[in-house]
Amino acid sequence: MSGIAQTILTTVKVSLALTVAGAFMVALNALLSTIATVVFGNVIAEVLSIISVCLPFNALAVFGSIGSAIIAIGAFMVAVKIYTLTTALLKV
Amino acid sequence: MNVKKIFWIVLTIFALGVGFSLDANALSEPDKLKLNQTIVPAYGLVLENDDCPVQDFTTSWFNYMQRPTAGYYSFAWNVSNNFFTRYRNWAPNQDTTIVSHPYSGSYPSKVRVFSKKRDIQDYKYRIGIRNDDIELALIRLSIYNPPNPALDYPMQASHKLGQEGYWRCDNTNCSQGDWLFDTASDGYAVFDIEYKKHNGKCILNVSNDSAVRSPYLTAKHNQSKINVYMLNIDPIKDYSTDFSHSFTDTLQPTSFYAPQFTITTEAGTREVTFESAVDSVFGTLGEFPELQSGLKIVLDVRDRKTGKTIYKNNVDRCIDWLASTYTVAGVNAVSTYPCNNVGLSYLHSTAKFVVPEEHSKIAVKACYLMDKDKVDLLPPRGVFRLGCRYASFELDTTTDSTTFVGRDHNESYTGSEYYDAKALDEPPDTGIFSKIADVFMFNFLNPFAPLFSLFSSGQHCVDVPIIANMLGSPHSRYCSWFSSSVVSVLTPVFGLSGMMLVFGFFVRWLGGSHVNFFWTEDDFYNGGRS
Repeated sequence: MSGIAQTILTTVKVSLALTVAGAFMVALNALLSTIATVVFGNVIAEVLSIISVCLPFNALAVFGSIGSAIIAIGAFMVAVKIYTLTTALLKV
Repeated sequence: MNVKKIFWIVLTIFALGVGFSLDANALSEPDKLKLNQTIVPAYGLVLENDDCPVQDFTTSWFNYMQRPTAGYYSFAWNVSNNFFTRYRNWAPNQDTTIVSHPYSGSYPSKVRVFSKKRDIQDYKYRIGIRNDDIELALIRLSIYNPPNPALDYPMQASHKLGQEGYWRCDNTNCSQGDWLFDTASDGYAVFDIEYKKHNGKCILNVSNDSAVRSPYLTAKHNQSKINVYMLNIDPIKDYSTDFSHSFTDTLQPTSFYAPQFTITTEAGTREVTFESAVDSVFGTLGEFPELQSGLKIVLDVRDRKTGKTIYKNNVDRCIDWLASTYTVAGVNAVSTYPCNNVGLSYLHSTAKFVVPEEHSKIAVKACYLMDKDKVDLLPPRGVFRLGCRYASFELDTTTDSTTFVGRDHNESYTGSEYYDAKALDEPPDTGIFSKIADVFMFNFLNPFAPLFSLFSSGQHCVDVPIIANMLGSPHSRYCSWFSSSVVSVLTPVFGLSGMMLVFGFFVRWLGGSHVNFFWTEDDFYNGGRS
């Protein structure tokens, strides 16, 4: 395969991986929130709010950012997996 | 068990737990009213007309005071020295060379241009202006062209502030003192301002013309089309620093107004009547007709046990404002302005709904809402807040009454207390289905929203109605023990640290280093590298 074709292929793969990973991240975020909403209503948010007023930081924001980090890691792993799979498929 | 499996299980549990908290607040309030989060626009004195550009006469500070017994809102602010060094000329025994009348004068408008342009026509405030030098002027600006000509009356005796309403300020403080100016028969010095082009120059003309105020002002207003803007510069702060000693009887910044209402049933039926009239203090809005037209009551009636909605009105219409009966000089009168109680001091609203048979105890929540486009006319945010009232009732269909069974308390809003009339055309929330549909909506910034929230100021006080209800607490609003400045610093510190910790574990895991959660005795000797 020529260099240009390889570059194009790699670009497409990376784009695909990023897109799917991003969508995965958003969907996971929203899905978890929806499940939490359906199951617990607004109680969790209120509990975190109560915690926040007792702590010198915003617990909702801190735990939310940590959750984002974990979800981002998951998205990254999905992206890597997609990249690996597509590479393996192309080799076949 | 494989360490990796343990790690994944822990990670999944933690992710689920954290995920529950993500946006739970936003997503779990399907019935929350669509409130516009626009902060109340700043207040100040800005004038414009067709010939002259917008001019801002506002400067460093602004203060809001209200005397509840008076029914009039008073504003005080400091204006530029350019303006008020000349303003001194108003005072008796001062140099009056540039004024033709002891209490009037024309002043060049050497002030900066204000960018925002608004159109507020009806305006009636009492304004106190402090000069940085020595002088004080308390003036009542009266640009007055109400839609109802009958409103164009001199200030009622019942609205008088009395002598204690006059305050004299110098550089450092304000105290009850002499009135600098001749007062009108109703006890007020009334000054009219006019901003117009004169001999090719835009000037601000201030005059004391209370004797012929009504016709003169109306005519003048029509001619010059003066628009007045108020610019709100953190009124609460100024309230506490500059005038707290002088206005101890004013409304506290935490005060808010929630609808007072009654619930009655028709004997033998399940038809319920909700009826509300504003309280006497809030009724002072009668002096501000445009406020009334923007004021709504939003009613939310639910089954007390299940929370199922029984009745709910939208904010795009008022709840059948009654052809209100009110009293004018001891005579009952009826408003001819349903849904727009122009000129009334008391708003009266009603709504009827039928409670299905499966419901016996109902929870009623009624909230005041104000059109955000009308907030220019409101007193500053924080001093005059709108809120909700909750109460629970048990229906008794055998009589024409209901029994109060639940808590009856007020709640102020945590967010904005204004609604966006323009946004009402949006389709209503369809509940859980719309939330599920949100899962498939992609917004690039969404996944990182929690990250950005680290740097937002956050809420100093939070509402926890569900927990308060569970615990039977009379209070559902709690405020932080720590100042917002501390929270705003520590939140990103802890948030970023936590994220770095998570990423650190991940990177170490990627690098082939096993995370050993179960240390054995040997691990203590080899550093956990078993």
